[in-house]
Amino acid sequence: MSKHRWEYAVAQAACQSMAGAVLEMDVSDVVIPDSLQERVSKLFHEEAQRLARRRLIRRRVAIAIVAAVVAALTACMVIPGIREKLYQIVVTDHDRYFSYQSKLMDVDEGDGGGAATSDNVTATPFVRKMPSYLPEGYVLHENLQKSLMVRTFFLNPKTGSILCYEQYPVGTSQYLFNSKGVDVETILIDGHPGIMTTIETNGVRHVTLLWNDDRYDYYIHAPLSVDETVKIAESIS
Amino acid sequence: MLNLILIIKNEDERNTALWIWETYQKQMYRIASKILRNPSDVDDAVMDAVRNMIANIQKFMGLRALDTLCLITIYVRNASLKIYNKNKKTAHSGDDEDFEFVDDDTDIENIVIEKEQFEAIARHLRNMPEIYSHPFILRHYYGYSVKELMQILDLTEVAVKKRLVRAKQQLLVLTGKGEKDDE
Repeated sequence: MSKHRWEYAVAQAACQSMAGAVLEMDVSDVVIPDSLQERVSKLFHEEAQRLARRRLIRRRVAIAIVAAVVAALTACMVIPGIREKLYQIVVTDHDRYFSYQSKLMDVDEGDGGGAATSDNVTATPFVRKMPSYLPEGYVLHENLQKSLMVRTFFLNPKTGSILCYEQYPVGTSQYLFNSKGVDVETILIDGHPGIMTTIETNGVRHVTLLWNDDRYDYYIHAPLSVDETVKIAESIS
Repeated sequence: MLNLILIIKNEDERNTALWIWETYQKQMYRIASKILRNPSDVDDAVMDAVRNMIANIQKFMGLRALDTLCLITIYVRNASLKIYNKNKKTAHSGDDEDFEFVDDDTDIENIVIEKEQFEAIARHLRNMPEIYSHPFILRHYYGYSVKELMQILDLTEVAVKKRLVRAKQQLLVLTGKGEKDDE
């Protein structure tokens, strides 16, 4: 409502006149009956109770909502599929928020490798290494080499088995394992500590080795025995 | 009156309600007594007015004393008139329902009123029947919405709008810009 309108001014004048008339009333002889005082007090008391009840209901509703949310979240986390999906969303899809980040710069191709730096990788040439031992029947299937990584697949044509080998500068890669049904052990490869996981799927035992020396992380995944896999690892040079 | 403290949520509202009741309870009683003869009816009217004031305590916040007194007067007189009409078994809104109202905010905002006209209009508003002057004052001075007027005056929307329009029509006759109401 605009206070500049004539209606406002006219109403204000009438209002002041009305209030003035009331002020001129002689109320010295007015005595408020006790019954009215009691009724007004009771009215206030009832209002207070009503508000208190409303407040209580609101509080209970809020508690019920919180409890329902907690229960729903708990139920969700109990279900493996949802839990894994959440884990994937958090760890894989949005890894930039909480995983180690590395940054490439001035990659220098040549001399069989490249110079690279990251937040924790010294700018040194990347020396590619390959295993000198392979079990019988395995041949080179695919060799993916980039400036800061080696990923090689060896195939056994007779069995169709694939052996995977990877090499990265220390601290520039990450490995995620689903630990369900997997045996995880610590192991030494040429004196360097690492971990070994073994899992059996469809009757085939798969061994994964992960270790690092001072400069590189190594990864081998093979459908072989532990001894054979370790032998491959120790042949890397 | 300590019970009052339990009702009102914040300190300002609590103080306002407390102040209103303690300061103006005699005036409220006297206003109601002027309309109603039966003491129990007077009690009822004051009770209704207090109930309405508590429900609309925000409207009393920050008002000057005279404005507060005027608003209290309107609340009490309306509560009293409601009981009076109820006792007389006369319909409070009567012929309001079939009235075709017009928007009371149209085409008269920019009317220039001379000083003499203004005084005449203000005087006319004071002497106008309360069923028209009270809605007009609440609407245009205190800023009540039509919905709030419906609640305070216990009227339908149509009746409220009708009274606002009629009040304005009656006032505008004095400016020469309005048409005389047939009523």
